[in-house]
Amino acid sequence: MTEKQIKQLQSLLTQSSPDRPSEELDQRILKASQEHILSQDNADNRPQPFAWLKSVIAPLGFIRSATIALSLTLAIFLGMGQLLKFDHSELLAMKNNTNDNKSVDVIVKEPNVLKTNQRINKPVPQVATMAPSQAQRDNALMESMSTIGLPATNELLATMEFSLASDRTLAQASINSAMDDIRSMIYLGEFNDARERYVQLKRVQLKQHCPPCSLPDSLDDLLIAQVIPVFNTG
Amino acid sequence: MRRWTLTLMRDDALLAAYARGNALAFEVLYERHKLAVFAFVSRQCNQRAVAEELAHDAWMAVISHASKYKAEATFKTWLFRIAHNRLIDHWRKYGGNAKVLFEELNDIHAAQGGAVSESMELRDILEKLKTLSNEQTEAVLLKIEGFSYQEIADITSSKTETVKSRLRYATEHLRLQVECS
Repeated sequence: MTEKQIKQLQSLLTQSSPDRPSEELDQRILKASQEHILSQDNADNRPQPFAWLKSVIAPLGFIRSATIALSLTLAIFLGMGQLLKFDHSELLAMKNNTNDNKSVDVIVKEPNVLKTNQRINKPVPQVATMAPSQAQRDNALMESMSTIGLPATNELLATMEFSLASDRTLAQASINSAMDDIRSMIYLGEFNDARERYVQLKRVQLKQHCPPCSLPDSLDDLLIAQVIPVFNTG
Repeated sequence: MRRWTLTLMRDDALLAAYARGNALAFEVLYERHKLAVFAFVSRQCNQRAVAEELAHDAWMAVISHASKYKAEATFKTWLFRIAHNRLIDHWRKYGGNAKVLFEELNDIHAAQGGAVSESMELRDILEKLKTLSNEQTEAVLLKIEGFSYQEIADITSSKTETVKSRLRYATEHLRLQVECS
């Protein structure tokens, strides 16, 4: 059928007042949609085994702000001194060391020597994890969006491998579309929808073009990956 | 979430919101597509009650399978595929009626005033519509609705070439009709 004929038919049909579904049909369908949600809620409220475990594990993957990390690091060092095999001298060395972020001087308690040339590796601070609230996560998302924004499509494509040039083109289009949606959703306050949209991009759309996708699993992790270099001082 | 924000969301995002328990998201989705779906089925069956039943069944399938929707096709393609499957079941039981579309367009055309030449061409198109098969009429309706050949093929579970030939058939017959007259 030619375009002209399609347009002629379209023009005719737009002048038509086709039958509309009745009010009763509308109500039946909408009522059924609400009842379906209620029946799903009832099914979900049945006791589930190990639900408490899921609620504990889920937030642990979410690495958080440097402020919480730094304030809890000291508490962990003091509380876990035995486990980390520190003694008081090493803690003093850390406090006095200003030259190297990765290693510290060893203070030797000998009468004629203040310090040796020995150095020990500075232990990696244990970042304490604290389950963030939904509001904290959403605020962090909005903050990241406002200060740094979403990563550019080219940056994301650079982390991916494609066997065909056409796959790269399709992936680029998918990423552009998803980032536009995510940006709009975040600015509209639809944070969970934005997270879902990202999951859809990674697990459905990009899976077709780039199976071993190395993008972060969640939108929050994607944005954090951009900010970590600022806070990660070793 | 407020209704006005939902109206800004895309179809797949609305469906995902509904799958997570947001009833208002389904309402917005339904309002957006109910007329198109109803027109699609009612133009292919000659009883209003049957058309309502088919539309109802299609939306029930959307409700039941909302959580299983995959974004491999657009929501509208998925929705029309469901409606198409309901139509096929109906045609198998009761036979189709491709003349309904012709009758609707014929009524509009008859009520129109317009240039004689354009009127004659349209007349020819409408005459040809009367002789199309169910599958061909469906392909024409989907093309008018704005679906691409690939999407029509997805909806009707056929090949793209089959869709093109169905639409080409209508064109060729129309051309022959004009030449004969």
